[in-house]
Amino acid sequence: MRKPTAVRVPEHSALGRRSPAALLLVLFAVLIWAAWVGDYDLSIFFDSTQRSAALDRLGSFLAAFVSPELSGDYLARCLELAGDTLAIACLGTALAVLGGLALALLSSSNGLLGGVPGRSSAWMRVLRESCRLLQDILRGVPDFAWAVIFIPLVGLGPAAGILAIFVNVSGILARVYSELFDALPPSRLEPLRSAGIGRLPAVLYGVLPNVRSPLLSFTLLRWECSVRNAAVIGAVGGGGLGSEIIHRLGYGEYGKVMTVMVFLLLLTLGSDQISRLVRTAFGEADERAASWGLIEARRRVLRLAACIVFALGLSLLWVLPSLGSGHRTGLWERLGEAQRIFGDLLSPDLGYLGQGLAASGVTLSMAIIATFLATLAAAFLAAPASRILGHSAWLGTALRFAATVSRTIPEVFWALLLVSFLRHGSLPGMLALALHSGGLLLRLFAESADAIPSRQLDAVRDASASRAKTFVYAVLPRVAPHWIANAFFQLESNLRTSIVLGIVGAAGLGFQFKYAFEWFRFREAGTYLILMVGFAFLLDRLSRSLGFARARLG
Amino acid sequence: MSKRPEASPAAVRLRAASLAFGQRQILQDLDLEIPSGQAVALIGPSGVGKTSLLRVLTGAQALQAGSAELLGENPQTLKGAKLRALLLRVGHLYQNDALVPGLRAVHNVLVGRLGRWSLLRSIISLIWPRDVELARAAMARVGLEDRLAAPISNLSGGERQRVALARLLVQNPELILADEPVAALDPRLAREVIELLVGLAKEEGRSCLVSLHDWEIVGPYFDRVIALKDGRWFFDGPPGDFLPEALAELYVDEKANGGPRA
Ligand SMILES: Nc1ncnc2c1ncn2[C@@H]1O[C@H](COP(=O)(O)OP(=O)(O)OP(=O)(O)O)[C@@H](O)[C@H]1O
Ligand SMILES: [Mg+2]
Repeated sequence: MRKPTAVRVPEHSALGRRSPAALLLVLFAVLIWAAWVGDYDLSIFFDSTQRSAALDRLGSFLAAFVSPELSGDYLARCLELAGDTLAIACLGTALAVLGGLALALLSSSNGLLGGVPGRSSAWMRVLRESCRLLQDILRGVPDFAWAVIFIPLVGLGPAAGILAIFVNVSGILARVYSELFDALPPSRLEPLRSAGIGRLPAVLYGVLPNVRSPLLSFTLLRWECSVRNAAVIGAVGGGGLGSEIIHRLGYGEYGKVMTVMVFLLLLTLGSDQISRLVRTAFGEADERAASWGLIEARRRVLRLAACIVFALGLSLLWVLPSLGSGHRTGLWERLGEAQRIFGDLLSPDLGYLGQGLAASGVTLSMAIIATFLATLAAAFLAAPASRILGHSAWLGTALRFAATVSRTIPEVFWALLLVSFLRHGSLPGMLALALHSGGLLLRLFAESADAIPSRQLDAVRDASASRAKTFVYAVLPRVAPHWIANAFFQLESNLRTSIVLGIVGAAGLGFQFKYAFEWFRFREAGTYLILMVGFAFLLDRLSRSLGFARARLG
Repeated sequence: MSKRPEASPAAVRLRAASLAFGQRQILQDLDLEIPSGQAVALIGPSGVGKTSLLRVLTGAQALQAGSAELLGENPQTLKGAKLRALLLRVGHLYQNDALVPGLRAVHNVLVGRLGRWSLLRSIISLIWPRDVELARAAMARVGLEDRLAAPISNLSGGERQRVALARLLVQNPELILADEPVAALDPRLAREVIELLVGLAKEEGRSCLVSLHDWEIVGPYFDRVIALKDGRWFFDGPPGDFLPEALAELYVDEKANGGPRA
């Protein structure tokens, strides 16, 4: 669910210091473990009745591939659902900006509870640490899991999607914002504080203006991700295009699925484009801002505010009719239910820890095997897909096109399709991750091969004459560190997504959680939630200790 | 501008103040009294504790012994709203970095009003500056009327210090504490800023305590010079009495105890 981002290769990563043989051995051991623990049910490939049923479903889907449902009525319906999705993403993200800002202000050492040296009391530190913990919980439980939690409270539909995005993205933004705040030297605040200015105004004037532009671009990036997620969050009942997909898949109406898929792709590509335009506009405005007078600056700010209010107002009006649709009971009953559910979630039944750990193994396995397969495939296809190494132009173009399609379709969507062909299990989840990340890695790998100056290739090519040898001797040594770094980055991303795929019907921790939740076993679900948060926490640690730093936003 | 209470207490008072960082004694049993309306220069070699002394006065640095008093109140024991109310009556000027680089000059000047504004007004002003006329008048006083809308990053070092002065004007404090406000400026600019600073302080009957590196600047502008060395007062008196030999001794890098006059 992330954009393909180039990864900076760390100079002194933990990997660089080990011998290649030892690393290969570790990799081999990890793969064996993952294959064993992942519980992959391959019978569908060997059992002829199962295979023919799956092939039937695949066949009718492929038939629909060329004949999507294009009736005016259905197009209008999809357009409306796309509007729902967009509105869910906008409202959820807008609320999350407020939530994230508040949480960041409470948890940053340069924020509201920040230490004036010698004057920060113990309760402030306790409050600050608990806000950081809250951040980790909101972030660690994926938006899909939040949607599952909110559905019994607000019913199926956009409200659950909005709340899920609000809660999860609040945690993510709070983390990013508070890191931005923390990066400022405390000396920025001291002049304001020592002039007798209260905490909140001091932060508003001393901290926020200094981080305005990175804050804006992170927020836009998050909005973009929210659109992607909102498009599929309906798969667990959060409204929008996702609900339609799951519905139509259930009835085997693949023509309609195809139409929804096209809308979904257009929506994600469109939001990419919008956020890029907005970012450029902000960048240009920042450059020219110095020459504006006060009146002009004020006019610009008001115009921006008007745009935001308009977009949010429109979103609200759009979803308002369907917001109430999920309500079955009165407010008081639902509050009581909320209290019961959250009370149970917060007092987890640790007897299920063993089961949860086993499910976590499956989640890990899906991500590991998928990343391995994707890396392997991308490495083999990188040469034919690259512009300067490839044999034939049309094969290269075809590969690049396939890669683009494969990575533009979100993992969740792949998972939904594959679950409908192969039935629930770890296999469709793993394949979904492999297909999406394969497309991503193929593009990155081919690009890095193309970045090698052709002079250097020619020298080797002249000496050895064979393409394969040129690839092995001239290309591989140069791109290998870059490829490995990207593969690890993809592994991290897949580990996070793997939980979500469980929630939409593959296997692992996410599946166990959803299952327990749907059977009202909230205390069991609470255990799985703890594991999810722990999982996210360990991942953060791991990616930091491996030293892979994502390239900073421009 | 605002009315001062009659027979106001001393602007600054230290009684037997002591401060040490580990083994290093920064302030040793110091006494100091600055009556209101006086312009005082604080000089001394680098690392002697000028900044620490000023931080003690604003309560940012705790004393180990003795007491400090600012406008009749104890900054060391006050907390929360009471401390803020006291600090509101004290203006600050720093060497640099005290302006917010991401904001325009007008907002930086209006930071001087923040302590008096409600939260809502502060937020609105961030988008739509309030009390612009006040800011404009202050900027005119420091000769920068036409730079009201300029982002701070577009201003020169001297202009920035003047914006900081305009902020002080808008804050309208009873006492100004300045920590090497001109260390980053060339001598000519430095003199201009000091002249402006002391002039602005004196015409409203404000007191000021300014730490300085450069003796050259002190002479014509200040009523009184205090020099800190090895944790004690090395000199305290009118600038005219501070002889070149004493100056040489103050900046000599040895542990010899100078004759404290205070
Ligand atoms: N918080 C602190 N902890 C430990 N030592 C400190 C602390 N603050 C200052 N010091 C030390 O106290 C001494 C005095 O520092 P101070 O900043 O007050 O000097 P100064 O006279 O302002 O110097 P300068 O003219 O270079 O600004 C220095 O040796 C400094 O290293
Ligand atoms: Mg200093």
